[in-house]
Amino acid sequence: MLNFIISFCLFFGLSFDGLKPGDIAPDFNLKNVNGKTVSLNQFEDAKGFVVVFTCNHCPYAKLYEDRIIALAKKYRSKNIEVIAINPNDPEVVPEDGFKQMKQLAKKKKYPFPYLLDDGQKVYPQYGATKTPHVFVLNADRRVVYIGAIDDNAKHSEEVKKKYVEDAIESILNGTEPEVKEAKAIGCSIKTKKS
Amino acid sequence: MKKQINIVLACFAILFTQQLYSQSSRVRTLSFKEFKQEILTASDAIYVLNFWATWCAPCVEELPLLIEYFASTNDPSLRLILVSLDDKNKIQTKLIPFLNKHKISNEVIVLDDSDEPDWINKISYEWTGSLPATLIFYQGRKFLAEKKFTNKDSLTQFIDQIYH
Repeated sequence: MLNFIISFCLFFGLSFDGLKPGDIAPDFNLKNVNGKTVSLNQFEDAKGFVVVFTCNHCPYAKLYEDRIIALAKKYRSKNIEVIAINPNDPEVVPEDGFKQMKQLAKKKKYPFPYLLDDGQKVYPQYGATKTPHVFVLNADRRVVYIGAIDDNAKHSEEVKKKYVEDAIESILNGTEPEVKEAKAIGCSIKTKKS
Repeated sequence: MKKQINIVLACFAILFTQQLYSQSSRVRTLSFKEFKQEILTASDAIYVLNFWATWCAPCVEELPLLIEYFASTNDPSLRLILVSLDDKNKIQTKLIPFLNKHKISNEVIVLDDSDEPDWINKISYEWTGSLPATLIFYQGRKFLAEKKFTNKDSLTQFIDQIYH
C-alpha cells in the first residue's frame, strides 16, 4: 500500500512539476543521430548521467556546446555518461530537425548521444523548460542536480562555479553536491502550443 | 568653395553623431546591482519588465503586441522596460540596428551580469530563466509570465492582475 502511495505521488509529482533533487528520473527510449535508440538502462556500468536538454539553434546552447563536449571527454573514463536531448519541435524550429542534429553532431564530433525527443514526451516528465537545461543523475537515476552547467554562459574563462562538475564529483565521492539547483537564461522549449 | 564643403561635411558629421547618440541613449547597460537599485526597488510606477533578446525568436514575435499595448494604454502609471539579454558586445552591431529597423523607441536596458543563477532568483524565484518572460510588479506584489503572449486578451489579463 505504501509503495502504491509513493508511486502515485511520484507519478503525479512528475507529471505536474517536473523533477526535483532526490526524485528518480524516468528512463526514455529515443532515437540517436546514429539511427540507434538510446535508453539510460543500456549503460549498465554507468556511475551517473548528465542529461542535457539542448538544441542546435539556441545561442545559449551554442555557448555551451564546447563545454558539454569537454565534460563528456573528461568524465568518460569515470563512467559518467553525457546524453544530449533536443526537446524542440522541428516543425516549429526547422534548424532543430533530425537531419540538422546529425549535421551538428558530425561537425562538432559529439562524443555523446544526441537524441530527438520525438513527440515531446520526455522533456515534460523531467520538467525541462529551456535549452540548455541539465539534470545530473546518479547510477540509480536519482536526481542530484538540476539547472545550469556553470555560472557564466557568456564568458567560459570567467566561470567561478562549475555546478555540473561539482555534482559529478559528489557522485564519484559518494557525497551530496553543495548546490542542488542553479538557474540560467535559456531559450524556451519550442512547441506548437506556445 | 572648399570652406563651404567643409562646413557641409561638419554639419553632416554633427547630425550623424547626434543621431547615433540619440539611438544609443535609450539603450543602457546595467549590472544586476544597478538594475536592482534603480528598477526592482522602484515604487513610482507599475513596472512591466519584458525579458528578451534579439536572438530569441518568440521574443521578437511578441514585441509588437507589447509595444502596441503600451502605446494604447490609458494608464500613465504603467511603465514598460524592455530588458535585453543580448551580449553587451553586440549592442552596436545587433541590438541598436534591430531597434532602428523595427522603429522601437521604448526604454531598453541591457542586463549584463555573470552569476545568472543568483540574479534570476532575485528577479523572480518562480522564473526558470527561459525567454521570453514578463514580470509585472507594484508595491511588493509581483506576477511572472514565463511564456510568449500571443494575443491582446491574454496580455491584458496578465497585466490586470496587478489592479486586483
